[in-house]
Amino acid sequence: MESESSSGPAVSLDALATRALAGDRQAEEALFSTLRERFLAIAKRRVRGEEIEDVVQDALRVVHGKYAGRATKVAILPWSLVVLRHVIGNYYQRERRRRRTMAGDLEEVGAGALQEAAPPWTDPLGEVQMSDLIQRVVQAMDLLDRSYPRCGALMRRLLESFARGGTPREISSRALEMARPDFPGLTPGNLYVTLHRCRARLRELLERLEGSGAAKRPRQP
Amino acid sequence: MGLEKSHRAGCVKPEQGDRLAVYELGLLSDRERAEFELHLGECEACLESLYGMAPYAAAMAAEPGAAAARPAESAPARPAQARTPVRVPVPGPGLAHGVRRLWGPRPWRVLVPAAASLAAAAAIIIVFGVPHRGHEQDSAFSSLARIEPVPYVSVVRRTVASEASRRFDEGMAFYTRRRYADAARVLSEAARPAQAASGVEPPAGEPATPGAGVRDLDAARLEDQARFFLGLSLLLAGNAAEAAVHLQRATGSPVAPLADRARWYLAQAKLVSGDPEGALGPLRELAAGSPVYAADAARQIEQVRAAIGSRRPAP
Repeated sequence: MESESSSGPAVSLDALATRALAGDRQAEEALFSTLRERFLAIAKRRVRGEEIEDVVQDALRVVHGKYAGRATKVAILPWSLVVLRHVIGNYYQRERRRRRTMAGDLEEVGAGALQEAAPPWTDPLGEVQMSDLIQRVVQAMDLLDRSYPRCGALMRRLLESFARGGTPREISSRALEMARPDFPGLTPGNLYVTLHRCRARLRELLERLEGSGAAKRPRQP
Repeated sequence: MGLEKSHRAGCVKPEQGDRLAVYELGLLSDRERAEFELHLGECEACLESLYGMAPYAAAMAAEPGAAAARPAESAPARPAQARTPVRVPVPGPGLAHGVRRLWGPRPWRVLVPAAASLAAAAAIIIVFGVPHRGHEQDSAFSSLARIEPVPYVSVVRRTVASEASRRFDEGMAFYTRRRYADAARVLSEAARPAQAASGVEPPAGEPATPGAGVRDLDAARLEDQARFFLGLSLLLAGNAAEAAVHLQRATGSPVAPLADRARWYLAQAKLVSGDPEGALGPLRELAAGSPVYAADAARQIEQVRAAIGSRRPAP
């Protein structure tokens, strides 16, 4: 029965992870098989053909080594995708160094060797990066308030409710109640759609913040 | 909205795709979550969207209280006082997970109560004095400077902190208590080990250790933060000239918001130092492309130009 439920369609990846950590090997196989499929779908758009599987296996190895210690509030798939982003980022770095080395930039070789020897196993949501990410989310939420005030209010209500804790249903109901003064017509039925639109706007603002780096900006004379 | 429009248009089952935001925060029941994850197997648009947002979604889920923090409401601008020219507001209520929030009004928010900011900037000069190297103090320009403490969010760690990280926290503890000279002293120490750790070459005679490169990335980020807050603390303590040196270096950070903040405060340091021409460079960069500081930078450029023009002798 355990094996049926481990690989059945109605079991989430987080439930599989919980079982896997309790020693259910079939659950672990089902979990990593699903993650591999999702990783391949993403990596094939970003990585050269012959290296796709290597990148995916690197990411899976990191996930396997770290998923027991991840923050429990973060679902395993979004967390695993952060790992994959790091591994793909490292792949791009290696590619850049390889091209520079081939172009004869010998000064890069020393630094490149050090970086290339480095496995990507740091916690993808380590303390410094988490701080950076949150600072940027706070900035984006501030912009969201100014650009789309209703979206800003709704996202904040949701996060505030989330911070108070409870079951998913309790958090959603509380967020709905908290948002009603700003959204009189909001119902459980249209909450998802509204949140989805607001998420899209938040993401757009995050991308603008990401794209505002000095390197990408034309410098004034 | 390009990406998300295409995501909605490309989603094979929009009634599932609309659950993306709640899925990211882990708010679906286990059955709903399983259904959504099956949907991700057949919908590349949703999977791509999830991948694109993953670091931010994970950060929001891990620290929702910090992500929901509202910078302006908890800390309305207050008039300056004689002995405390710059104030850090008291921590705001309602934060979960042990995250403390010490929000000051952000520069772009502070523009409205400009009089209070200008008074604070002037008070810094009155109380501490400003050392100047190569530029004479010029109150016409220093009064244009807008100097407020940057809000700082401290995230509770789940990992063992490095030595540099502990020093950074110690410095930031002084910073949040408005002891800027002490903050600058400790942060200058915090920047050193981070700098050493982030060097691309291992120490002489030591082999490159596996993993060193990855730790270096974190160390470099920490150094950027330490460098920025060191510059800001020096500025708040009245040492604009030295502040400008550190802020200038922090403008090279690959973290865009940090680099933008460094440009803003570099410009303020230049103004306080009586070097308006030096302020115009970083302000122009901000006006050209910063999503947060562009409007304020453009406004300050106009003010600086007007002040420069008014000081030129009439022909």
